[in-house]
Amino acid sequence: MTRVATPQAIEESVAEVLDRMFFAESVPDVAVDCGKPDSISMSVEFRGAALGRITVTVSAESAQRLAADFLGIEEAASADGDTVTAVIGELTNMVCGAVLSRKSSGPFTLGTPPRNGCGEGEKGICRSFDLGDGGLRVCLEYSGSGEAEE
Amino acid sequence: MRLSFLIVDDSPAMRSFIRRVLNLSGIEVSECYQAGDGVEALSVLEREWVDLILTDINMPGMNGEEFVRRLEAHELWKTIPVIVVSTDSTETRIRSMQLLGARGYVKKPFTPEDIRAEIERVIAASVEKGAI
Repeated sequence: MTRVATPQAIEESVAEVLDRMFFAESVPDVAVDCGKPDSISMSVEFRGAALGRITVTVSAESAQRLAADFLGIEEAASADGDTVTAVIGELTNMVCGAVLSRKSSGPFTLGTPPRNGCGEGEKGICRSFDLGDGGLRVCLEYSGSGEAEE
Repeated sequence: MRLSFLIVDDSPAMRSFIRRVLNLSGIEVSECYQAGDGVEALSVLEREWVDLILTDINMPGMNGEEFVRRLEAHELWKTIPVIVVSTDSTETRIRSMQLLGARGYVKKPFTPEDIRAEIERVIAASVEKGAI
């Protein structure tokens, strides 16, 4: 099992999830504008070889388009709020799973991601990405076990 | 060969995505049933026969591990090939699901090609065994 540093694991995981499931590309190291109240932020707690939480925040425009791309909806605007939230929940879960699979060989369990206020839960090691029409930010915070590093 | 599927995942969005990916992959789908957890999935199987099951692991209610365990304990259902579709791609998890009876494993995120390749591999093995 190749263990990689957390920032690299986040960057690789975001690129992999967006490319394979959302047919989208990202550019790392661009700050996401989280000041808008309609940005969507979700966190998922993980337990297993490590304990902690991953938070994903997506700007409203990008969230709408990602949901449409994920579900094959031609008009991004026609994806309703609940659908967009559900898809960003899946994005959060997949990014979390992809990061943990790069960090540990032990199995893990994920909770159901609740929706946060924007900026809430953004603790630990964070990386931001430019999606062209908005931004995405991922933060990983360990809360226990020997996996906590960097 | 036209195949009937049962997709088991607690996320309706993910079930829709998998259904879409099956279409994109070029696999001929006759029926595609859906369930939100293992309990719902067993209920579908009481009424319908499927050729292949795609299941998540982490689900509220009956999770994927218990669901596969129940299938293996059933005289008829244990012949249905199960492919796990999960975010957890750690070696320990893959091995434990295979020991329970899963015949394939696709990690999320996946492409249509990933799904197709694993379905073809599992179906070929099942045809060889005479299970399909």
